[in-house]
Amino acid sequence: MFRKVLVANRGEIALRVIRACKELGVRTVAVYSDADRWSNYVSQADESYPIGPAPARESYLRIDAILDVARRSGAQAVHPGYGFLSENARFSEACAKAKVKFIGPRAESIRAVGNKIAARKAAEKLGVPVVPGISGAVDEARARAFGTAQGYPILLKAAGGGGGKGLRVVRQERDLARAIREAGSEAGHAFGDGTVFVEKYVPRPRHVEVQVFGDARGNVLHLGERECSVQRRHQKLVEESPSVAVDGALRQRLGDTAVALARSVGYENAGTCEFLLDEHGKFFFLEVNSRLQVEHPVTEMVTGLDLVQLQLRVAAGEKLPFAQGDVRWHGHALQTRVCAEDPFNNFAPVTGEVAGVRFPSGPFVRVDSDLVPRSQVTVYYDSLVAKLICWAGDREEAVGRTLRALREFKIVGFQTTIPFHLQLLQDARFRAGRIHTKFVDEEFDFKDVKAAHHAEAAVLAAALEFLRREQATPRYAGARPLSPWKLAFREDGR
Amino acid sequence: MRLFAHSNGHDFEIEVSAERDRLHVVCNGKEIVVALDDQKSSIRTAFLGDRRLDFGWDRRDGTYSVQIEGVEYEVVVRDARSELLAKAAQVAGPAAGVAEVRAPIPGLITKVLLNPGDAVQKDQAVLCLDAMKLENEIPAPRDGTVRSVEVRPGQAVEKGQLLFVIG
Repeated sequence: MFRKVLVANRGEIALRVIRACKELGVRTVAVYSDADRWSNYVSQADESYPIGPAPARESYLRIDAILDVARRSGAQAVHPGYGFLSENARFSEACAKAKVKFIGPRAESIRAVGNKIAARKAAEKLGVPVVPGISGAVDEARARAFGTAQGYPILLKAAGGGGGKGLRVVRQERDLARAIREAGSEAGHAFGDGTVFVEKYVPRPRHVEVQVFGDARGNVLHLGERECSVQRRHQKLVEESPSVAVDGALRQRLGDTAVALARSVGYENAGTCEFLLDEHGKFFFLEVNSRLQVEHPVTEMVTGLDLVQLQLRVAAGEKLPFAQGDVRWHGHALQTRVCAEDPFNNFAPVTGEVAGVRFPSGPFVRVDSDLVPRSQVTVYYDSLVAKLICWAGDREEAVGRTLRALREFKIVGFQTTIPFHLQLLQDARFRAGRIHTKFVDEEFDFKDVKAAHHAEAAVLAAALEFLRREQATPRYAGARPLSPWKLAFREDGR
Repeated sequence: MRLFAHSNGHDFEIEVSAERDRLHVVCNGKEIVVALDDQKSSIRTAFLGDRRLDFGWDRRDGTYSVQIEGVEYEVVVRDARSELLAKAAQVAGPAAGVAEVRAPIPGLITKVLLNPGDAVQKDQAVLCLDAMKLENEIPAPRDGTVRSVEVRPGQAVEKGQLLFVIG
């Protein structure tokens, strides 16, 4: 095992990796931008180094700065987390050159699957079904021809894409020009590659993905599926394992397919094969994510495995400590993503400082979050501030437990998506498992419950203001007896 | 003490007085007894009548954020005098013939496509704002000339910040 690992990420995933390292007795090195100087994860690591200004391009995406810290700190390996440099083949190569182990797949594997066009071709070669489309770069004319032949809507995708960037649904021909321009530009900015390809738009599929794992000796196995159909504009909101739409037989077929794909590119470490599942149980290969996923905890909860520790072990050259036949799944796990976004204002991102935070607890409740009082949420990074993961014997119990935990959850200082999750988890269709990737955008009716407590909020604010003013007005001592709670308030000073 | 509270378009006139260890509050004519805990934390608990409620709160620039059941309410509280002043200030509006375009959401400016003095058509993109993981083209609201561009590429902007002016 490594003696020291550098965590090339921030926030909750940096903390997640630091925790896994600590549990294995591995020393940790954190890196931080100017905006993260006072973030919690920085103080959880054994050593911490600044790597530049707040914009990711000038800090978390700086390969040279990160490898310089690795050299100075004597870290033997780098864990990239998700996002940032996690699927960057050049980073994997630069690590190899600097004799630092990249905790993830080799550069060739990242390249083979990271480009969605190449991944499509690899899947086609293995006979894995893919969504009808063009396995090559398209310009406006080719996309137009495809749209005319297949009918609208069509889906434009960035070859180097991920996370909804460079993705555009085109519903009619006259929107094509602008969409292809925006998708190309967005992809160019985000991935340094503006190549766009086109697929037929599948209207209401489920998003089901399979966790795969490979070691350096060529062993590849899968850890079952996650369903991530609850999305809003291609951003996942709720993830669960198992999927209500996957039975034992389908799990095996999906798993075998994912393992075959991973094997075909010599895959090492953690990866995810994403599929679309239509209402007849027919699946289509979508893409491979060559990194640890945001939603990995649901797989951990149902398999009892620590995926980050497993990543560290296989990166250190250890053999996968179990075989496919040893993998067992128990119960049901559900993850809700709590984001600094305003569900009452079209999920616009919000920024601010955490005034106070109270995490839920109780049986089988897990919170992965880097938030502490005074944490800053800025425009520079992702809006995800906490992941709530609940496990239970079955899905219904897991939903009930998650609802209970969400009601205990308090993040004060800005609006979060908790009210959205509270409503979603009470929706009859969600509870029946009748979900698809357009469920939130097209069917679920998020109600503006904000009106319900306006008067209470006003009363509380007025009460607080009254006490503040009373405190500011000096009185003669002994003019009136003061109760302990008022005295305490006066010391507060807010 | 007479206070005026405004929460997202809802207006409340509130009379507060202290009675031993509780407050007597009349909000838009409705009476309620309020008792607050003595915690110094930003997460506190209160009796509103017979109901006890945990809530989050924060005060910044004179505005309260009160969080109930995960929902943040921005509440402006003013006394009678500042309420009068605020109402008088509301009368003044933006200059006629000029369109100010503000950031609809916080984000990062990735591109500025036009310069001051450039002619612009309605719906033509003036700059790009990267937010919610998407690059958004911010268009001109009408035909005219770019009077000024108040941001530069790479700059982080807050919601409501002035981006450019079309005249």
